Amino acid sequence: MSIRKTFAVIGLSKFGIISVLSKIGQNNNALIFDGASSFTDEVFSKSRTVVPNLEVEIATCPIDASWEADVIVISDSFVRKAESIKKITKVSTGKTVIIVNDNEKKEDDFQNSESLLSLFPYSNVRSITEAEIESFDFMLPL
Amino acid sequence: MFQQLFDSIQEKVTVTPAEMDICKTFFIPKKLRKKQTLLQEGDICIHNAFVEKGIMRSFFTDEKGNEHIVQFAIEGWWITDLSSFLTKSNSIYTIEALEDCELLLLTMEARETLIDKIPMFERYQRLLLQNAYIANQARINSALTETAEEKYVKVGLAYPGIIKRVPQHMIASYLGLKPETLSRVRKQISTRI
Repeated sequence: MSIRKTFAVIGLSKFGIISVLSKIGQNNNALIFDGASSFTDEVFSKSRTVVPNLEVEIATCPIDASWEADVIVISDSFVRKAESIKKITKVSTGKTVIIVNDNEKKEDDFQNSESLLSLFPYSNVRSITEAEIESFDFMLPL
Repeated sequence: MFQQLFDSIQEKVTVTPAEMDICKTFFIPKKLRKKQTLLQEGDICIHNAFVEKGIMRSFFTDEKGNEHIVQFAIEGWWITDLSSFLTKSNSIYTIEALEDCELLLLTMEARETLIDKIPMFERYQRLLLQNAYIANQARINSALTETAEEKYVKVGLAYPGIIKRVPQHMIASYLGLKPETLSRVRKQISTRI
């Protein structure tokens, strides 16, 4: 028997969210958040067809979702923009934080991604591109 | 988010505000909803959990499917399967939220590093273990020698917060009584008042 993990999926594109939900499988919970509720509603319906038995919910607050989560999957654009990021940082201590780059990583983005990592000093941070979601192991030990 | 933990630490040992800030970096903040589990029977317990908000219980299920509650934990209390946590063996307990909970989780590795950085934390943990040992001894004595009424009254006096927040069938399970026995005991007590 293995304990269910809760994943907070924050600010990802429709493709990104569906890819993550397909990867984390049916034995875990997912909380998805995006500022636009019409967008999350659409993704929520789509996720039902892609991963039928997955326990997925629409989160109303990215901080609460991150607080509840064991693993936080968050887009780099959300990390850069969101005013709430410092509060998310506070509830991410000791957790795995996977920062998903919306576009392919470029060499000159390196410094930027380093500063993103420094936002989560007490977390196990991984940085991947959206294209790498398919091959990424989301069940890494916490 | 850390107030209950800081109060608990300050109650037992003296630590500086700077040490408290260091402390914060070792705990995993975790929200659990009612009925969600922190630990499932059969898994290895990797966390010692401090309850900032809510109420938790640990229990095991016998071969007939009956649940036996071993511990409740309210705000300011710790809960874990200590044997599984310390020896990395499979747990015989399940730890579950009875209300929506806010927890601060400490892994063994984090605990060891924290003790290296803040030696007072070891004293704090030792005092907690000492108190837990005394409470366990009292529980064994109670189970062996006290009547159902004495057990209920004693728990009510010692932990009024728990009695008010937990369903009666769970109190019965914790005391090792059948729910109908506890119901009879409560009726007897109320007719005397």
